[in-house]
Amino acid sequence: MRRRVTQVLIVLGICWLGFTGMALAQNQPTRPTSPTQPTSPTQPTSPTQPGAPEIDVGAATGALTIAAGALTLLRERWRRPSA
Amino acid sequence: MPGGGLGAASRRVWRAVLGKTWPVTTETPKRLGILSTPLSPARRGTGLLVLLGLELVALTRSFTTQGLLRAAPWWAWWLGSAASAGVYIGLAGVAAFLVLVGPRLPALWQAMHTPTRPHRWWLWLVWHSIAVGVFTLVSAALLDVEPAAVPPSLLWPVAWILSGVTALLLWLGALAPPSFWWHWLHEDSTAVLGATLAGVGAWGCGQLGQAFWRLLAEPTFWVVRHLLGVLYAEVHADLPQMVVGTTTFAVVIDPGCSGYEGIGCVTLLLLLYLWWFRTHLRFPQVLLLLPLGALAVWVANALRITVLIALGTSLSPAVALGGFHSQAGWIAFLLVGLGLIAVTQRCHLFVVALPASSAPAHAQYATALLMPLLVLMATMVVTSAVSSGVDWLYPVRVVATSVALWSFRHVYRRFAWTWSWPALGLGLAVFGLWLLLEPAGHDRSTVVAEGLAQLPAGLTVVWVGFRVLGSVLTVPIAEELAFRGYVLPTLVAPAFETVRPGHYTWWACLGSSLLFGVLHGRWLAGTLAGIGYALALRHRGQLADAVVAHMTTNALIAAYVFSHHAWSLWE
Repeated sequence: MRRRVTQVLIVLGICWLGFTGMALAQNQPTRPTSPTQPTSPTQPTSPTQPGAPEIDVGAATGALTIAAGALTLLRERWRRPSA
Repeated sequence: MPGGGLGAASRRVWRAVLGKTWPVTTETPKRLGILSTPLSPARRGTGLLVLLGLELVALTRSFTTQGLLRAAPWWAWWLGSAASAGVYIGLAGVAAFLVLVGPRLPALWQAMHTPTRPHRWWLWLVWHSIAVGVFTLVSAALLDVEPAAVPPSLLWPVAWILSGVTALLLWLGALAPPSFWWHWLHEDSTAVLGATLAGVGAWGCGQLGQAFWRLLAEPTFWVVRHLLGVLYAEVHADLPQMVVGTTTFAVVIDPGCSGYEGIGCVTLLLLLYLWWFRTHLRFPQVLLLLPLGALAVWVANALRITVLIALGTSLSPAVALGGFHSQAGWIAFLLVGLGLIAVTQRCHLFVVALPASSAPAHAQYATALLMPLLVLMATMVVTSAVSSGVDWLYPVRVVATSVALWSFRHVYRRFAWTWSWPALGLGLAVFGLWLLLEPAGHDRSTVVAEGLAQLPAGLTVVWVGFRVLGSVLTVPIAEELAFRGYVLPTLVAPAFETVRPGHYTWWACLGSSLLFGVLHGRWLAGTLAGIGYALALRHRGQLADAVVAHMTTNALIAAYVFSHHAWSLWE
């Protein structure tokens, strides 16, 4: 059972590693960054903002430190005390 | 055991290395029945790793395979594509291998440097250098030319691949004898195969991901449009252009903000959680976390875009496109990922047994060492999200970290809070290194300087006062408690509380310092600073020395900022 779980996790990990890697690699805006001036009154009056990535790799330090720290503290809670 | 093949001691090493439950502690060498790792082989191994890293950096900066994609010979496109795929697969494979064998890495490193027969590593290194030279020459002939000038003969790509593979094999031979690698492949084949599959799979999934990239953008667009309709009477929505917003502020929903990135990051976090805590979790029901996490973070992303547009419309476009835009995705990642983990820890459906109501002593000690840094980071993420340019809420970081430090003061009383001249000297040396490695010609008209110029004089004094207080007092204490107090001994032995302060290996020193460097953005200067503070700790075995050295560095940097108006050092 444990072995099968391990295999399932490895396969899932492979898939998502690729997915996330590609997602972060695609972090550049693909739309033109030059402002577009809408003319219709129903459209925005300010320049349309260029598309922005969901995950800003440059701001990753804080969030990843918190995630790693939280998992570490959880691991310590489950670890048996040393003899 | 010269000339006798792998002896009994070596076999014991392998049994220990391959044992899944074998803990690595300071007693490791004694338990293995082998001599402790001599310092020189470990240093040599570190040097060889650094050498390989420098070679790879130099080669990848000097040559690119992009030109091959436009070259005439029939094999050029295949070689160019295979080379970039090879780099991706190699990096993903190494990362997967490190995750798979993570807890056994120190033991593997030790086995690598446990001598069983004479190893003429220098001979391998000489041949490796020659092979790298040949590889560089062939690379120059093949890659450092115009696409039209790529030589057509098939011998060139064959020579390129052969010289590259030979150089790598000779480097492995310098790191450890061939017999070690043979037995490693034989005994640890599952991890090697898994890592290879992970590398190939990651690359394959990446290719598939590109094809289905835009599928999620449209549902996100519609959710944002309807959420905005709740807040504003008039909503601007242009589906073909994927533009959504209000009459004064609109954004383009690119594939990158469709939700895939958050789903990928949360799923990776949850997979790591499932892997590391697999003995405590109930399978298969805990796998339910994966779709739940994906759905929750996708909804959170739609909310993020809606709030971003609302902020830009009603409050401040600068904040919306500045700090909020950078941090909101990460906040959603943390809330969803850590929130789901916290829920599973309190639910019988997902865990084999609920954790004890009171944490064991070593867990409480670890919490006291890590929590101030985590509070500092959490405050930074939140205050950055509501700022643009300079972080006006920096004082909140100082207050929050101080409260965290104060709440664990009973734990910190166990440290001898005294100072020493060597600690001050090391702090001064790190300050010198930090300035020396500062990029030349940094722009003095920075975000901080421009922000302060717009502020009333009284508020400027308050902000600068808190900035100095944080830099010289709370940040050094929080970071030293975490890096030299917890990470460094943890890399020596998982039972970190049993490691005497100041007793560490080069491996642990380098690893913790690298992490410290990554945290500071300037990885080389940060890593050297981390090594400097670890040396301060080693001097008397007192954490206070590392704190004093760190405080000295930061105080001198603060003085330099004021005297030279070098505000970029504070960004």
